[in-house]
Amino acid sequence: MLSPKNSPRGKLLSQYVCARITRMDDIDIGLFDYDRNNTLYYFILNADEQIYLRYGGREANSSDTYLNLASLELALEQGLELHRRYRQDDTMRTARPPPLFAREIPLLVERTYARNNCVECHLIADFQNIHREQNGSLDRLTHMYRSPDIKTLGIHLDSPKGLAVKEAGGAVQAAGMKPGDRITGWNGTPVWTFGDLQYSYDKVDRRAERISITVDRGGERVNLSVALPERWWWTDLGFRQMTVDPRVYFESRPLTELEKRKQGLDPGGFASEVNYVDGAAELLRSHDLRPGDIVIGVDGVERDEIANTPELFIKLRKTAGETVTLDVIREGKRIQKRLKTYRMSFRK
Amino acid sequence: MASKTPGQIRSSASPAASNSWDNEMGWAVEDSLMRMQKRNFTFPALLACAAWSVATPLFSQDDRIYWLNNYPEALREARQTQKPIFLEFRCEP
Repeated sequence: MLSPKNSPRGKLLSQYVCARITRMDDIDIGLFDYDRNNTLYYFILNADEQIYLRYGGREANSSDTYLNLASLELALEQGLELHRRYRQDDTMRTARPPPLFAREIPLLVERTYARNNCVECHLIADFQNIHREQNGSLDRLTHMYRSPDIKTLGIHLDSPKGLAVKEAGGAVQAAGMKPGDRITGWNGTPVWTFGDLQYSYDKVDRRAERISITVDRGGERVNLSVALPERWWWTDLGFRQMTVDPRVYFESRPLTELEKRKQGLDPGGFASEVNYVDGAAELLRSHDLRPGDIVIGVDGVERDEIANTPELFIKLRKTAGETVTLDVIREGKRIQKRLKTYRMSFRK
Repeated sequence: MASKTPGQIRSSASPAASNSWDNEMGWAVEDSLMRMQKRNFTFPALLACAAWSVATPLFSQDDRIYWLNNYPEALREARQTQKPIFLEFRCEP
């Protein structure tokens, strides 16, 4: 029994109305907005539909890094405290986002409602992006690369303790974050849980160069201004099984500036050495790149203001299903190779 | 600091390409490959079990914690009881 009657969780949950949503048909997804590629996601809110906090969030290589029973208990306690405050002072009320329902996404209607299939969370995200792609409103940095990874900033949490910082490196260390700090605000928004933090991080403009992070340090409030590193928004899209990113079936390491100069290549270009080729490349006849190949260009383009590798360039600039021509150096000789990208399809 | 881009990045591909998502060759192969690569869902499953264990009648009849599966009903009950709502989103068990 994980939550016996007198356990902390049992006592906490008994102070809530507990509800479980397994179909999104009639849910206001504008209000309950979250990265739909979370396996589980929780909201704590009140009868006025004011959301106090979120519990959930993930990183690319694991769905459960930030989910544990200890931090869930903290979130439940915090939710009760925020509810108590709200009942004393409902000026805490925030504006409700514009409503949006899954039935307003045309492709989702066609592929799920019309077939009486389940309107699953991840399908909402998939079809939203396909719809955006078709009508030209897809912003790949924001819509495809959701839920940036806080580790890219150097934040390592002691996750059973909620937003307590275990290690601070890189950008946040440079800004003054220290182990033992507790993160309380993200770019001006109060955050109580990792779910809150990641949602706020996801809302940061991908062109931003700095963000503010507020921490509690031994009872003192400290504001930090953090310089965002290059491509801070980047995450491995591999776990997002049905996204609109073109699948390329290889990975590469960007050459150093010195390596590029030695090869007579543009030092500002995205030339990279292939270091992994997925077996699917051969199965799907996508390409025949080999580890050790140096890819220097895609369709004649050798540099990009964002992309530092050819695969990132393809994901940002091409549409899944397109075939591109790669400029490659293999064993010292320049050759051209074709690469057919693929689009994930849907099981349902 | 690296150069940042204008936010909107649009593809140069034709609309036909973007409409071809369900006709691509090899999707079934890809799908099965991705299934093999599925990440470890152990903890979410455990957490769901924990929530479920609380949801099921582990307690005496009077102490039972019910999980509603109807959002409007949860709002009604929250209004009546003045309790906050703990709302879970997940796939069907």
